[in-house]
Amino acid sequence: MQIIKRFLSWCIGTFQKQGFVGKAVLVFVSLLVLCCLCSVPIVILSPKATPTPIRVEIPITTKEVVNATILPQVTLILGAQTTSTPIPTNFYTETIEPTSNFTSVSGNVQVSFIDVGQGDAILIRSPEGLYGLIDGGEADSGVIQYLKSQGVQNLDLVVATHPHSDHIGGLVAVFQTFPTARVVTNGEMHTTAVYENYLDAIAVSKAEYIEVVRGNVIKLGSLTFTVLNPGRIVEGDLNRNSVVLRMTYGNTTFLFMGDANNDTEAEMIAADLPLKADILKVGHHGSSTSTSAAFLAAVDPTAAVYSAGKGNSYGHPSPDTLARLGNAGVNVLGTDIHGTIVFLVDGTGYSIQTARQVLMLTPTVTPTTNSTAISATQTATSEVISISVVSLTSPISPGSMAQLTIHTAPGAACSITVYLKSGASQAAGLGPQTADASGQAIWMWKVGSNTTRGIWKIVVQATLGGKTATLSIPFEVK
Amino acid sequence: MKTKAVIDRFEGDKAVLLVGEEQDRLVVLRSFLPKIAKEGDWLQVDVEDDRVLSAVIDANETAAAKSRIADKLARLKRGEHRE
Repeated sequence: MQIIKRFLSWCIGTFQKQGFVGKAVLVFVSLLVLCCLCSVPIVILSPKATPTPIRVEIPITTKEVVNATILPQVTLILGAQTTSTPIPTNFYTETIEPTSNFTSVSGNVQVSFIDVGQGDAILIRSPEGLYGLIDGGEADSGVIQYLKSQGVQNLDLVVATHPHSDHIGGLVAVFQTFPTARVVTNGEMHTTAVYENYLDAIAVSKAEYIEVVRGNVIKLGSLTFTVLNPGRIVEGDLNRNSVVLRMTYGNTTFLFMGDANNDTEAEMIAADLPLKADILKVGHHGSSTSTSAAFLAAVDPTAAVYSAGKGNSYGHPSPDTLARLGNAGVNVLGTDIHGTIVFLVDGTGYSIQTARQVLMLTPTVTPTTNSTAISATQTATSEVISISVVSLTSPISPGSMAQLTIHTAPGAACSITVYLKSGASQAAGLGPQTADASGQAIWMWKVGSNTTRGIWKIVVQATLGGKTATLSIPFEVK
Repeated sequence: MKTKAVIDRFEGDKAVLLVGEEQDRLVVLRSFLPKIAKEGDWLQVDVEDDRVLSAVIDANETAAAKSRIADKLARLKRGEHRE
């Protein structure tokens, strides 16, 4: 403080000693210094210096490509935090009307990715009604309750992909609760008390203990699981040696990766294994060290599932992995976002039910194309009502006509709200619509000539059969 | 509090410890552990408010756990538990 006081009094003294010209020069120099100092925070705070706006390309049905600039505050749950990595072209918007209605499930085969927080647990029901469980999450992570809610009385098969506690911790109680016929592992040992308790629980359950390697086949009723990993055990890397299983029912194939990593993936590609699958349970909770671009190209899935706990300590899933999945045009589901995710498979395709309904925005899907991959995706999303943008006139100048075309479920009741600076737009043409037989709904309205320029928000809602999806779209008036 | 812990796994720059008899999970920075510590090593740790104050590898405990658990695993492989 003393130094500042002395500096100020010296300044005033010097100032008073100067003549008119001297005073003017001093004032000018001080102003210059002030400006320089201020401009630093101005540059930092200016909108252009905030994380670069994300560009999302939405090419659907029309040949035009709508380039929408999305600011990070738009309701993206995933991807928005990314700064250095490209944003997935597929991403989620907000959660709507949580439901947990699993009572109406049908389908010959059911694959449930159970929400066990940070960990893996996958329940599979065979066409004969036999149950298999791949991993059990941590202890007390809810796997017992879920199995009971599904009417499971005993397990024909339990697979422990590898001996980490977020995969086997919950199996201790599983063996204590459900009579289990067979336990399949890769034979790798751990030294934790959790692992020891798991071995003790297997012993007490009298389940048959089986160790598998690449090429082995495990049956669950008429379902067949082919073991793709481990080829040979690599010491000192429990994740890498995870049991990887490929299961096909009718025309639908699942690939269950456990915590397998890039090394496993590279080795499986090099071994020329059949990797093509419709649904990929990505390795290691979506961490950055799994699900390489080369591996994604080999598997070429339409849907990917990761299992991760909300707000986990490890940054799972990694934005890099989500970006790789998005760039490959894969629909991504995660237990942290969707809760328990159930695939119903009937041999000709599959549908998905999730505990929490979350919109899946799939800009790369072209409704008019009839390739098999696309139709599989449409089957996949039919249970989860979704909205995608077909076209939007944005940016638009004040005084012109705007048009928004969306694609959603045919017959869905659709509503739109255009939020401008002054609040919701009252323009004519923004009334409710019903999506036509092809699933399209179109709004045309005039953007008032005195509309404030900026990036605003359009919120579209579609409701069908008690299910609602909401999509938030950036809208620029320029 | 001084207690035993075992390294369940490494997750990036973090380590997941299972602490004490209850095997409570504790996620710590890997740099708080001895550099040579591996997955599966038992440690003598001093833990306070979810922080590791000190960690020393307990080679004896690790060897004892390995041998005890390997025996149990061998019995399962031989199917003795089903006789």
